[in-house]
Amino acid sequence: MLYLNFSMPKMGNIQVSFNLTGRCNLSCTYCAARKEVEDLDYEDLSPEAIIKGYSKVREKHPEATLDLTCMGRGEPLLNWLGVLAIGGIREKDTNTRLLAITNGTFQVRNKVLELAKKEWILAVSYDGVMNELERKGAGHKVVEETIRELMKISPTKTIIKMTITPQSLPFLKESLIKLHDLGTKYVMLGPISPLGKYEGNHGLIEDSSKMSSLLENIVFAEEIGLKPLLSIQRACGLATSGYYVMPDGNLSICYLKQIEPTQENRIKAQEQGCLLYNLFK
Amino acid sequence: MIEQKVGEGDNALQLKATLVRMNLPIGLIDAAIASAERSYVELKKDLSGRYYSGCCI
Repeated sequence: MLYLNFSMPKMGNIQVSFNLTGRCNLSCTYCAARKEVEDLDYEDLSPEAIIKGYSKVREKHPEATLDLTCMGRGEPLLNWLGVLAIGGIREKDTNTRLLAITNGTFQVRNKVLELAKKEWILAVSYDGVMNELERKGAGHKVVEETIRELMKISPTKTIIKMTITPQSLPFLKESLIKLHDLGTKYVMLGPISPLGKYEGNHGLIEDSSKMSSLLENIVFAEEIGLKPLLSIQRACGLATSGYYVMPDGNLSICYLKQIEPTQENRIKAQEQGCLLYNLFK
Repeated sequence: MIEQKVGEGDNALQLKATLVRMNLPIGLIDAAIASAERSYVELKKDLSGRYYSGCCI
């Protein structure tokens, strides 16, 4: 197998990401993964592949704390068997943290709440009071109800992730107030750098007046008592360094490197389960 | 390929450089980044470690 690179961070925990599924109950306008999933005919990650991948990383890093992260090119919690398999790892290996990203919609609400009660670190995607504008299929009131329940259970381990687009920006201040009313602590806004746009699907902030407005809203968020974070999008579409467990249980490695999005690199990345976007035009 | 070494502090520096190139007000940039950095310090305490899913500062 070819690897994009072999470096790993020398500090902190090691992230192990599981792309649990390509299935999704939403159809977001800015979703960078959908086309790639269709092209790759992506299947659910099996519990066997999950255990195999985890075991390989643990063998390489016997002392490290592993962040076992449920990601997906769709809604990760739709592969609930996979989530349970990852949860089961922690029962035997306490030198781990469990993380999941979710859209927080009605189909997965009970599962999200169950994970929160088990002290998983959760990131809920929510674009604000006009959530359904671009997160097609995710009515804002439905996700807000999930957030409200989550904040009662696990406010310090739940992060609200907002993808800020030119379309959602005018509603951002109102959305931040809504999040505050729901009891939110952490809200991650972005991607804020490198300010490019996803190739072929328009729409991230790239002009200075809108970026200025986003920065003002970050300051505003803190003023009303939220804890704003900034996300930084990188060339790798999955945007997270660490190991990725492949469908066959083998590992792909992604480190924070800027990779030129040539066709050759794009194909190489796809072979390794990574996505490349031209964010650096 | 060009290696881009990014640590936590580097994230903020790189972001600031990008925003300065967009001619945004320095005071606003610094205020927003400082706000995010304060949040991230607290988040790391709450999570007993770093959080980098999505590469945040």
